[in-house]
Amino acid sequence: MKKLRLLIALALWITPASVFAQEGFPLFTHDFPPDEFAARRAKVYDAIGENGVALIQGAPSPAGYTRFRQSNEFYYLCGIEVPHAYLLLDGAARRATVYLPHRNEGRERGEGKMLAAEDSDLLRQMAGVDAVFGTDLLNEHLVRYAYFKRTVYTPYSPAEGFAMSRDLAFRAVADRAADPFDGVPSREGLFVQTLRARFPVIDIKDLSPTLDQLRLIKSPREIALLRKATRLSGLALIEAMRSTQPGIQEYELDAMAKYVYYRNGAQGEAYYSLIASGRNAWYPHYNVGKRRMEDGDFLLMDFAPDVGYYQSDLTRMMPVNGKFNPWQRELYGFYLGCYQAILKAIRPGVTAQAIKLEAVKEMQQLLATTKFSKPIYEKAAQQFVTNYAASAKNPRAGLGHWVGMATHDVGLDSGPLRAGMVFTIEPALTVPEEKIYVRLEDMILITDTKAEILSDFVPMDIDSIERLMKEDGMLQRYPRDTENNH
Amino acid sequence: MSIRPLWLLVFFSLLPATGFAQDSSLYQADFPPAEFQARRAKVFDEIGSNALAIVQGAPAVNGFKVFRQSNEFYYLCGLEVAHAYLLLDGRNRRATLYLPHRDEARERNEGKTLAAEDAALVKSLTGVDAVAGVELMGRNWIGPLVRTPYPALYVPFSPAELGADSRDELLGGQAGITADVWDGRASREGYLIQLLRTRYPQFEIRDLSAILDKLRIVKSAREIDLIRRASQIAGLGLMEAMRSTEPGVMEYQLDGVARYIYQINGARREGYSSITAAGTNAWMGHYFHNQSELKDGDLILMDYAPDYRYYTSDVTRMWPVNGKYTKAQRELCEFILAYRNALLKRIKPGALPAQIMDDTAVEMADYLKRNKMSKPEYEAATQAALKFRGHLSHPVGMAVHDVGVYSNGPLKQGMVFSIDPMLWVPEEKLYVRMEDVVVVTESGVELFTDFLPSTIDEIEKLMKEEGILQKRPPSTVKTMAR
Repeated sequence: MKKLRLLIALALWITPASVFAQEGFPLFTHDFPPDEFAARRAKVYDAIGENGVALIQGAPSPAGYTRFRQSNEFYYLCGIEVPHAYLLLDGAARRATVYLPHRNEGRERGEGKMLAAEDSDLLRQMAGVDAVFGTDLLNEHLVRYAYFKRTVYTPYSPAEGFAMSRDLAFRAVADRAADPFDGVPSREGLFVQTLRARFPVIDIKDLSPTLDQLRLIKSPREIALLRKATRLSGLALIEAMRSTQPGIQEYELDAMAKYVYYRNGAQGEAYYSLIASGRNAWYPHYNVGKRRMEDGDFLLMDFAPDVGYYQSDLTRMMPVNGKFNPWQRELYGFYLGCYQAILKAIRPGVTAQAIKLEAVKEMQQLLATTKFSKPIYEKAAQQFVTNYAASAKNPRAGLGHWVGMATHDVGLDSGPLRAGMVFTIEPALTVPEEKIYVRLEDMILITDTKAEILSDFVPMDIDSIERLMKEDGMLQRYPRDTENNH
Repeated sequence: MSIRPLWLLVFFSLLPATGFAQDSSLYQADFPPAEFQARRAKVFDEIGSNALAIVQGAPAVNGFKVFRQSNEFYYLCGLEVAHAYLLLDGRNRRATLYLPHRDEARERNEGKTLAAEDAALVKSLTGVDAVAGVELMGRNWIGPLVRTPYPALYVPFSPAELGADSRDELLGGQAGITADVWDGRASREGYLIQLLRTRYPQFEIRDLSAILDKLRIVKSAREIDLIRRASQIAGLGLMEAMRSTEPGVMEYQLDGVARYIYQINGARREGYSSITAAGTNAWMGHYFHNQSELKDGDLILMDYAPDYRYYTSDVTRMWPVNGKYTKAQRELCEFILAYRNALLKRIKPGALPAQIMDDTAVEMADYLKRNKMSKPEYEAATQAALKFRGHLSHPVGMAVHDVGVYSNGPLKQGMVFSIDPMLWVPEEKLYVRMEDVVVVTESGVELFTDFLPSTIDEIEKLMKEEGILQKRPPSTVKTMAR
């Protein structure tokens, strides 16, 4: 029985890809089979109940010469990458209906085939949805739900696109609201307002918390993509260690990392690169990238790609001249000890609070046995441990942030760590007097039995970093153009 | 990416905010304040002495992206701050910048940005006459409304370009939103105009875009320097892509190679998404999927340029995947190259674009008499190319399809546009194009990409060299699932 199901899935899988092989590009993702999307939608039906209808708005057309990227939530539920699409999930019938714009031949002539309302059979096969209509019919179909006074759930939180996370998306809404002449409302706000205006009888509720909780636990296929994104992020950091030397520009490491990402099929960046040399590292989100690195600088690099809608988030630090100087060795060395204490304590079935308390014990021992060359360094180290211990008192404070389809991924959970959770840790040690900032960041996956550090192939110990930095890097072999330099 | 836990926030809030000097510059170094003042003076001349002009800057970026100012705002003052406004008062010819106030928490996180508090500094950098907080904007507009006749108020009606876009594409995006009856958003410009109309019905609101377009069509020496550099970097990227091309490579890998060249040479972003189209993918004019594997025997078309300090280029070459042109590919590519050269030599100040195209068609008709095509469909395609009127193409500048019109009158020194001779062979789904960017000089024309291989021999020779993809495979992960 199981085998038969597998065969059917396999058959469904192969058909659409081969039908459109002549297009030269896939019309639908190969990363997830239709039954995975169907299983996710089934969980939404369970959550909204028989009186509920979920309505999800897909991402709009991109403005400009930018590739279309579907919103995370829409992609998560059906995988369809078409602008201005809608997904309707009926909790009673447990049926998924997709509403798409009609075929636009002029545009297809310019950009290649796009899935449209006319591709009903194909879409049902590929995305596993039950029905496909033109967007023009959505109004008419909603009338039925209005008549029976069903509750419509739609996401209230901003949809995430390229290099977006909810925290920054909210900030962008706030920035617009603070501008007295920027009248652009949030897309979600306007959608809810339109729904209310057209169907005042419908009770509208927020779908975001439901989707957030689903996205918190990652499936094996999602984990495979997170692993690939982490692998590319790590390869770029390793290459950065080889390429870094005094005289290079921060943006050259950005260029090199993107080469590694794009060469290996990434669809974009998870976030802007944070490549901060010298005092620039003092700013946790410094993203200007325009400084020439100097001998004696300590460099922070925090960068990752978007691989098939999944992100990573890694940070490493290195001395620009390839040799840790005494203060770098002292502060980074102490920090690394503390950092590894946290990594060691992470395991399934335990809360963040318990892990922190355990790590703090080891940090305190380390503090007692470490000799510091300056009182301000000792004070900074003490402050680091004190702050970390203080954060352990807050039962809702996590270890870092979730990572998934967004870099700062959605989901709230402060209970024991469960299999399928993926997050980073990134404590920061600071010496304000000298504007020194030390941070590492790794991707951690919780499995049934352990915490797997997905990024543990990227060196973090001083010896390995120094050894790698002796090797020739890409920037040495393919330097910037020196003729006609503007 | 760092997310600051609450305890860190508390900790940082105790730190003094002074002395956060940062290594990077806060302001561009490509244009002196006098150049911005001269541009604004032309706007004053155009709007007259009883009018105001208001230009809205770009909104804050949504997500982990580097902020980029809109072209028109940058053009008039060079300031790279989100949610800023520039007021040009034609009555006293004074320029005022309205800026958001300092946000210390954000500066602690991302570094210093210019704010309303930096009035003296902003005035000296941009050459504007006054700097104020955005909240004063509404109040300062009441003054002009106390007495009649009310001044006219100019605002750009066309969508602001924010990088990797052009007006045509932006209007297309707005059309997509309009077609979606559930997406009720107006354009940002539309909202601004609507707010102005409801708050200040006294103002007659007029379009500033047409005035700015007219200014932007003729480029200054400093602008030309930037477009030249953008074109050089674009050319270097294409050369590296030619070296790296071989059967089995993916289209997106050539995209990655070119992007690497752009960025190590100081371009922070793309002028547009690359069109890297092998085989019949090139038949789609704007193919951007870049997901196909390069096949022996195919031609590849690559059209790509960086955004170099707010200026871009537009360069296309086609080359054979296996490094050797077939006889058929050769005859079409040679025809297109001859077409480009015939157009190029006629470009000079005072020449009429329509005349250039007519004269070129005559010369190329003669070329076709001397060089017989090997197939009737090629003969038809090349004859059709003589009648096509798009070989002299769009202006290029801050946007790839830049604003303004040059084709309706005599060419002027400082006009920058692309020449892209092209032809179609529908029977073979074959599209052939070559594209370069030129500037009209005092006495003739400058081809920015004169170093970039164009002839069959030059390209074949370059392709024999090893490329980055062969010499530096940086990953053991061969191909990703997508």
